[in-house]
Amino acid sequence: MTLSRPTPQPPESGLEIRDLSMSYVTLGQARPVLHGLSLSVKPGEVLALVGESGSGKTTTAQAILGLLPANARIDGGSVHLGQQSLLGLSDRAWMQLRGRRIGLIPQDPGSSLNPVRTVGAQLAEVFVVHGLETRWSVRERVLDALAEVGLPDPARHHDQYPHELSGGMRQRVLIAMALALRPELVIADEPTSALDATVQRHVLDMIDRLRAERGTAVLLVTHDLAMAGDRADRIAVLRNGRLEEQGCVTAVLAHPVSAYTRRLLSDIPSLAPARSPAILRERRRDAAVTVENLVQRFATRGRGTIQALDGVSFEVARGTTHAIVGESGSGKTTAMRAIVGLQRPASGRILVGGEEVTGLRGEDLRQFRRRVQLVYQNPFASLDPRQTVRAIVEEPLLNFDPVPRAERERAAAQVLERVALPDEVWDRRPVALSGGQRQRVAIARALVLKPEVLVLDEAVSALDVTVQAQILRLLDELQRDLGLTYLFVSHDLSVVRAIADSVSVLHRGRVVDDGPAHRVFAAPRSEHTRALIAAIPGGQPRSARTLEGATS
Amino acid sequence: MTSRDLDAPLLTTSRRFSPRLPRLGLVPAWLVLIVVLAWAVGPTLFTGQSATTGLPGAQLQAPGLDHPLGTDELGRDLLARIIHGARHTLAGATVAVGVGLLAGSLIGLVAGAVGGRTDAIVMRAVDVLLAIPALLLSLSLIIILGFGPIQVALAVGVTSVATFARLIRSEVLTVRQADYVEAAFGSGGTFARVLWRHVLPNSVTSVLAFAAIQSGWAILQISTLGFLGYGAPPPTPEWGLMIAEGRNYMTTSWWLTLFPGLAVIAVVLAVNAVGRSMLRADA
Amino acid sequence: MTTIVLHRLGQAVLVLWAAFTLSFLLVQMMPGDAVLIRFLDPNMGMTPEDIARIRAFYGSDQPVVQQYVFTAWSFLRGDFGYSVQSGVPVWDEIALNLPPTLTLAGLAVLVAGALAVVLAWAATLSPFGWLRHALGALPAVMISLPVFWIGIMLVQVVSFRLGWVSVIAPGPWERLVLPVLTLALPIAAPLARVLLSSIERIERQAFVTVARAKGLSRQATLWRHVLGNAALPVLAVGGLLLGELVAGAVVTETVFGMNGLGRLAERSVRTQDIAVLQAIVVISALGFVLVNLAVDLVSIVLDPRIRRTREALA
Repeated sequence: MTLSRPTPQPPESGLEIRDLSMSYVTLGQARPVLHGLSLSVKPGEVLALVGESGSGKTTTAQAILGLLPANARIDGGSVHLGQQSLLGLSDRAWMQLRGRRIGLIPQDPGSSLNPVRTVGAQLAEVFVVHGLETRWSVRERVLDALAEVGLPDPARHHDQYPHELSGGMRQRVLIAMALALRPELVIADEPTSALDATVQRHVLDMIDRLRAERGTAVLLVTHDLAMAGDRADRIAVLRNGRLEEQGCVTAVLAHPVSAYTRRLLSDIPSLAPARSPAILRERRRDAAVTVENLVQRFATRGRGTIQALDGVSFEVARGTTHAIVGESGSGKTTAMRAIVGLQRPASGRILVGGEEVTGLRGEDLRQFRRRVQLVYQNPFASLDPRQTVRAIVEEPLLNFDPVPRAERERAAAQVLERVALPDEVWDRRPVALSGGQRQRVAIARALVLKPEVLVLDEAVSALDVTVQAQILRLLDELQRDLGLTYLFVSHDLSVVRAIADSVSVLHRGRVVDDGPAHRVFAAPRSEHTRALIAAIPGGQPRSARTLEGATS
Repeated sequence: MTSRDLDAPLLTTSRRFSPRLPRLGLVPAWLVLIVVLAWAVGPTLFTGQSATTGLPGAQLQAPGLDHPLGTDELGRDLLARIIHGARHTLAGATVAVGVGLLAGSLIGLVAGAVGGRTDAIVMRAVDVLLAIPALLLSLSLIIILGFGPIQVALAVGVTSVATFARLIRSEVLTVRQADYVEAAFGSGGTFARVLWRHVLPNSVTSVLAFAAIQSGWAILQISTLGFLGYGAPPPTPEWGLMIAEGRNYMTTSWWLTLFPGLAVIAVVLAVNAVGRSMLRADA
Repeated sequence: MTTIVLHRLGQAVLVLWAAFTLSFLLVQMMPGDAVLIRFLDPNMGMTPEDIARIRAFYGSDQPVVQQYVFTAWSFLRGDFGYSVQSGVPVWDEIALNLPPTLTLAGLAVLVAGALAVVLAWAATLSPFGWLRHALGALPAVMISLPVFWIGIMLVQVVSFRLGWVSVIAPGPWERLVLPVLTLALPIAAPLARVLLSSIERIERQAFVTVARAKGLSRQATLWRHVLGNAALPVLAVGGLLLGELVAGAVVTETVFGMNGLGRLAERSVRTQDIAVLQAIVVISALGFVLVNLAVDLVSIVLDPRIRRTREALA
C-alpha cells in the first residue's frame, strides 16, 4: 500500500480518464456526481459504460464532449484524448475537436435532427465547418457518407427532411454524421434505446462494422448490461459516481467482482432462466379470456382507413400469463384497449370469464371493470398527482362497495402490504415516490377490487432493470397466491420470456406466431418472430457477432 | 432507483435560464396586492384627505411633505385619489374576470367534455370572437350599453370570454386524456365522480392562475377605456381617468400622469407575477 | 400545397362572414337606432315625418332579415353606408383615415420586430448572468405598461425634458417618431417573450447538442439551427398581435391627436356613430384574417413538416 505509483503518462492514442471527480453546484451547494473515475478506451475497442439512471454515466460522456451544463464543476483528475488534455480547453479548441476527433451518436434519433433542414444539409455541415469542403463541393462527400451507412437511395435522402425518414434511417444519418470525419473516438449514448428491437440490432451492427474497419475507439453509454455484453470488449460498471468494476466482457459477465454487478446480472430478464413450462400443466385449463377474430380500423383524415387489427384471436387459460408481443404499430395496444373495454372493436368477440365484453355499455361496463384491471406503462402519468397513496388505493372501493371507512382502510392496507410498500409512504403523494414504488401503487390499485384478469401494458418498460426484476418477482408471487390471470403487453421479448406462459406475436395487426412460450422461443414459426428473438440482447457471444456483422 | 423517465439523456445540456423571476420576486408582488386590497376595502384608514373635494389654494402642488404625491388642478391630494381609486380598479377587474371566467368556463367545459360537432362549432365561434380586436369589441359593446364603470367592466369581461373558453377547453382535454383519469374510469368511477375527484382538482390551479393573469389584462383594458373617457365620469378617482385629466397639465405637473400610471403598472405586474408562479408550480 | 391554401381561404371567408354577422347583430341590439339617437334631439326641430324619411334613407325601417341581406350585399361592394354623424359615406371616412394608420402600424411593426430580435439576442448571448436575467424579465414588464401611459411618458421625457423631438412644429417624420415607439413597445414585448422562450426551449433540444458535437460554435448553432425553429411560434404569435396593434392605434392616435382609423373609432363611440364602428370592426377582422392567412402560408414555406404531412392527408 505504501508503494508510490509511477506518474501516469498520457497514452499515445485513445481516451484516457484518470481520477475524474465532478460535482454540480446549485445555489452554492455542491453535489458530487463523479468520485475519482478512471477508465480508458483504446483504438478499435468498445468500452461499455454501464449504469442506472443517476449513476454519472451521462455526466462522464458530457465531460468528454465538453458539453457540460453550466453548473458542473470539475474537482480533479484528467481526461486525455491521445496527447491532448480535454479539460480547460478554449471554445475554439473544442470546436476543432468535436466532430473531427470526437463523434457523438445520440440517444433519440427522433429529436436529434433539425426538423426544418434537409438531411443532406445537416450532414454537409460537418465537412464545411471543419473546412474540408465548401458548401458547393460537398455534395459528393455527403452522398458517399449516406451510402456508407447503408441508406438505400442517398440522392433522394439527401434532399429529404428528417420526418420523412424512419427512426432507423435517422439513426443511420446520425451515425454517418458522427463518423464522417473518421474521429478517433465515438461516444454512443444509448444509441438504440428509442428504436424497435429489430432495428436496434441493425444499427448496432453498423456501428460495430465501422469501428472494425476504421479502428475507432467507441464509448458505449448504456443502462443495458445485456447489450453491453453483446457489443463491448470491456465493461465498466458505474454506480453513484463510482466505478464498481471494470474488465473484459467475459470476466465481468462470468465472474463479477462486485455485489452490485452480480445483482444487475441476475436481474437482467434475458439472462434469467425462461419460465418453466411445467407450471402451465399444473394449472386448470378453462379460458379466462377469449379473443376471437378482433378487427379494428381507424379513419385517418382524408385518406381511407388504417387496419389496426386484422382478425386477431387468442385464448388465455385461467391463472396463466399470456404475452402480446409486438413492435410499435403492431396493434398490441389497440387489442389491449379493446379487452379492457376502453375501445369498441369494429368486429370480433371478446369473452372474459364467459361474458361478452364488446357490447357492454353504461352501468354494465362499469361493473365489468371490477373483473379486468389495467396497469399502465408509465407510473408517473397513471397516478393522480394530488392524491395520497392511500386515497389512490381506496378509490376503487368507493366506486363499488359503500363499505364503512374502517373496513375500506383495512382492505387498502392489506393490499399495500401485499405489494410490499412500506407504510411510511402510504400518506405520500406520487411525486415523493420512486418509479418502482409508484408501479407498486398502481398494482395495488388494480388488485384492491380483486379482479380476475390483470392487464399489464408495458408495465415494467419504464423501470430500471433491478426494479424491473423486483416488480416481475412480485407479479409472479401475486399470481401464485391469488390465482390471477395476466395479459402482458410488451415489446420486450426478454421480459416476456421471463414471465409468460403463452405468447401471441403481433405484426401489422395480425398474429404471426402464437403458442406456449417455450415453443415460440425455441421454434419460431414466422420470420418476424425469428428477427425479434435474434434481436434480444445477451443472446449472442461477441465472437460470433463480429463475424456476422462483417458479412451482413 | 428512479424510473428511466427521470433519466437525463446526454442531450439536455444547458439550463442557463433557471426560473426567470426568482422566488423572492413574489414577496413584493404579494405585498403590492395586499396593500391595494387594503386600500380598496378601507381607503379612509390610509388617508385622511378627500378624493373628490380639493383644498383651496393648494392647486397643482409638487410632491412634498404635505402631499407626498402632490395635488391636482383642484387642490385634491393625489395619493388620496390613488388610494380611493383602488376600489374602482379592483371592482372593475373582478367583474370583468368574473364574467369571462363564468361564461368562458361553461363554454369551454361543454366543448371539451362533449367534443365532436358541438366542440367544432363552438370553437369556430370562439375563433371568430378572437379575430375581432378586443378593444374594438369592447367599444362596440360600450356603444350599445352606454358609458359607465359597470358597462366598461362588462364589456371587458365579454371580450375575454373567448380566451377563457379556449383555455378551459384545452385544460379539460389535457386532463381528460391523462392516464390517471382513464385509470379512474377503469377502476369503476362514474363520469360525475371522476370529474369531481380528478378533473376539477387538477384543472383548478391552472384556471385560477390564468384568471389572475387575465385580471392583469382586464385592469389594463379598464384603465384604457377609462382614459378614453368611457368609464366612470369625473370626479371619480379612477386611475385611467386620472391620467387623462392629468394630461392637460403635462408640461407643468408631471406627477399627475406619472403616479397613477405607476399604480396601474404595479398592480398588473403583481397579478402577473403571482399568476405565472402558480402556473409554474402547477407544471 | 394548393389544397392547404384553398382550405385556409375557406376558413378565412367563414371567419369574415361570422364577424360581419356578429357586428350586425350588435347593431341590432342598439336601443333604438343611430338615427333616432342623432335626430331625436328636440333642438333640431325635426318632425316625426322627417325622421321616418331619414330612417327610410338609411334603410333602418326594413325587417331585420332584409336589412341583413342588404347590408351584407353593400359591404361586399365596399358600401358601408353613411356616417350618421357627418353625413358622408363611411367608405370616404375610412379611405381618408386608413393610410395614416397603415403607415403608423407598418412602421411600428418593423420597429417592434427589430426590438424583439435585439432584445432576445442580447438576452441569449450576453456573457453576464445578471444581464441575461434582467433582459429576460424585460418583456414581462413591458407587457404590463398601459399604452396610453407609455405615450404620455415618452412625450414628457423625450419632448419636454430632453427636447429631442419638437412638439410645436414637427416635421412629417419627426411627428411619427414618438407614436411609432409608443405603438411598437406593446407589440415588441410579446414577440420578444415568445422568441426568448422558444430559443431557450429549442436550445435544449437534442439536435442542438448534435450540432455542437459536430463542431459548430454556439453562435453558428443559434443562427443555423435554433433561429429557423424559433421563428415558427413567433410568427404564429405575430399574426395574433394584430388585435393589439389596432387597440394600440386607437390609443396612440388619441394620445398624439393624429388622424387615423383608431381616432375615427374612438370618435364614433363618443358620438354613437355605429355604422362607422361596424365598418372598422369588419375591416379589422378582414385584416386579421389576411395577416393570419399570410402567416400560415409563410409557416408552410418555413416548416417542411406542415408542408408534406398536410399534403399527404389532404
